[in-house]
Amino acid sequence: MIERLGTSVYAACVDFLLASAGLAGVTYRDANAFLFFVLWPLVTLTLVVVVMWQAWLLRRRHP
Amino acid sequence: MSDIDVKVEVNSSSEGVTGTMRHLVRLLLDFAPLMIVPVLFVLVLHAGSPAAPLRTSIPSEPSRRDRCTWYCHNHGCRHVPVLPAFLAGDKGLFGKTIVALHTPGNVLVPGRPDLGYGAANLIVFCIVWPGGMYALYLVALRQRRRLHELRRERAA
Repeated sequence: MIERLGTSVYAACVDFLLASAGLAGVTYRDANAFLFFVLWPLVTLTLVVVVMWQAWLLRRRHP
Repeated sequence: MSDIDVKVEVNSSSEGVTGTMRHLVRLLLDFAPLMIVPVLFVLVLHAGSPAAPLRTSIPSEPSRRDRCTWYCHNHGCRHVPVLPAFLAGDKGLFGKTIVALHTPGNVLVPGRPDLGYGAANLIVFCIVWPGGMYALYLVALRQRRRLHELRRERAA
């Protein structure tokens, strides 16, 4: 049951990458690499910077 | 009832409406990623050609020249990527990540490398990393609200 659910979710994710690649006119590798090695790291880094910046502001205004 | 009483009552009810609206906006912002991401995911799945069905097993598809198919996932992609090799190449991050995921995969599901790899993939890229990003997003929202409260207190 868990194996089938996991397989369905995994297959949906691969289908998503294949569909994204087809829509963008790039390869499966490109879609994979762009999502996991460009976009997500950028989003994560941006969020970390925002959280650190706001934490600093809070410490400054409310020590 | 005097004019002052009426004004206080109107102001209290408008503050109540504003407070409710603010609460609703907060809830929407908190849950926005959990609503937007699945919707986008399903939209892209259905926009693909052909639209992807719900699968219960890993499919087998023939290789195509004009676009990537499941063949590229199952046997390696022969199409030339647009991104540079250090990102999308077999010896780049793409290839190294696939190799790296097999190690925890063997620990998760010993003796079944494909299943283990899939499980490790899902844990890292569908649970841990997105979960971490969502947690950071919520923290950032809480901080922003606290900063606004402090600004209002100072102004008042």
